[in-house]
Amino acid sequence: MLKKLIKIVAISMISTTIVFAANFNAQAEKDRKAFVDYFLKKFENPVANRDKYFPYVPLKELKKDYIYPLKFQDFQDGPLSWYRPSKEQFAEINDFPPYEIPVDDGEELFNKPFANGKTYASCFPNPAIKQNYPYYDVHRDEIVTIGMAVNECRVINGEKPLKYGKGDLAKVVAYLAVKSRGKKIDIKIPNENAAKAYEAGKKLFYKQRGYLAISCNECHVKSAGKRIRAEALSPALGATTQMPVYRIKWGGLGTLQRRLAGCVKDTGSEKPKMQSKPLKELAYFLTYMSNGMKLFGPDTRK
Amino acid sequence: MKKLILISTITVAFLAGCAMNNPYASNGVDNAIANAQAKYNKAHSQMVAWKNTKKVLEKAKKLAKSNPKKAIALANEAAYEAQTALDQSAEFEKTWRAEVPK
Repeated sequence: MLKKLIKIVAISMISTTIVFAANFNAQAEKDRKAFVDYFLKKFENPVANRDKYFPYVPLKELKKDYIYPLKFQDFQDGPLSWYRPSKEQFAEINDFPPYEIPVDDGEELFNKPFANGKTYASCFPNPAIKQNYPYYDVHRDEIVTIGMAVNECRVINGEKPLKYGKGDLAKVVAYLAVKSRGKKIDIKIPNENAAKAYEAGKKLFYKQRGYLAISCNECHVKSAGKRIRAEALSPALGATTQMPVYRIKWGGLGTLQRRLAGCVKDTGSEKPKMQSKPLKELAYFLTYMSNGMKLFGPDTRK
Repeated sequence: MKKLILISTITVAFLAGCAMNNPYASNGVDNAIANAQAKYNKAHSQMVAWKNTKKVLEKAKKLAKSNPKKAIALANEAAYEAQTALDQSAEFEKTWRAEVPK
């Protein structure tokens, strides 16, 4: 009798957890599907859909320079996915990818023993982990980024944390990204607080800000597929698959948060601090939008 | 003479009106800086502050003793920016959801 009661209670608890877990995810899934659908429609046939999505782009340019139709996985290439001149230019640059040396450095750092004799492998026995970051840690009640995981590994092993955004930390993350290539992004929303963090990130993405009064959405959703002078605006879909990126402007690697902080500053807002709550929430939302897409990073950008 | 008095009165009234019309103007340099700091802190805590506001405010603090007139002008500029950022944020709070693809 007691066994039966325990079984019933256990089953009902598991079912409740599953039902609630599904609920936490429901809004995000609805958003993601609409987001993906928007981009697929926009890039299905830019020539035929010119009036709706590209009214100011010359027809000649649409026919000559635009690559279409784009499928879901094509968006892994960011601005190179749709704009032929950029794609050709970067194909040449990537004959000898500038990120290769930093990735080699990252591998060396990954395997170099700490003072206690252990390596990063003590924390990451399987380095193909990037597809699950950032994730919401229900015990700590916060978003954990891959940069945080790297630094926490160092601290556990008695080392000083690295500076976020670039340098050695970006190199180790780039090595982990290479090891995770081909893995599908799999971000989860496990509880109510995670859903709130997702919503906060979503608001940061869509709400206009700064003295230019623009949002991430203005450039990377509504204007994705257009140019600012000679620069092709990248679609937000798939934006996190190429991270960390080697930017020619930076002359080195930078993490997703470094790029996002730069973008926020470009709106005329104060630059958010690395690993600040809002920046982590923005990364959480944006990565969730590309759920199911294969990782491709690191890559090269202007 | 009457004409001169009339013109002077109108000019003084106009200038006084302009001064009173600036909602962010403060009298003393300390008041101006405190006002700007409070508004900046609020905008910063909501993560909506503009990127130059802090710099302008810091410059005002530096000039507080050596050039109070300039310091007040800078503090008022910082206060104006911070308040505009807060107003802008409140306005966009009502509209951002309409931007989400459906």
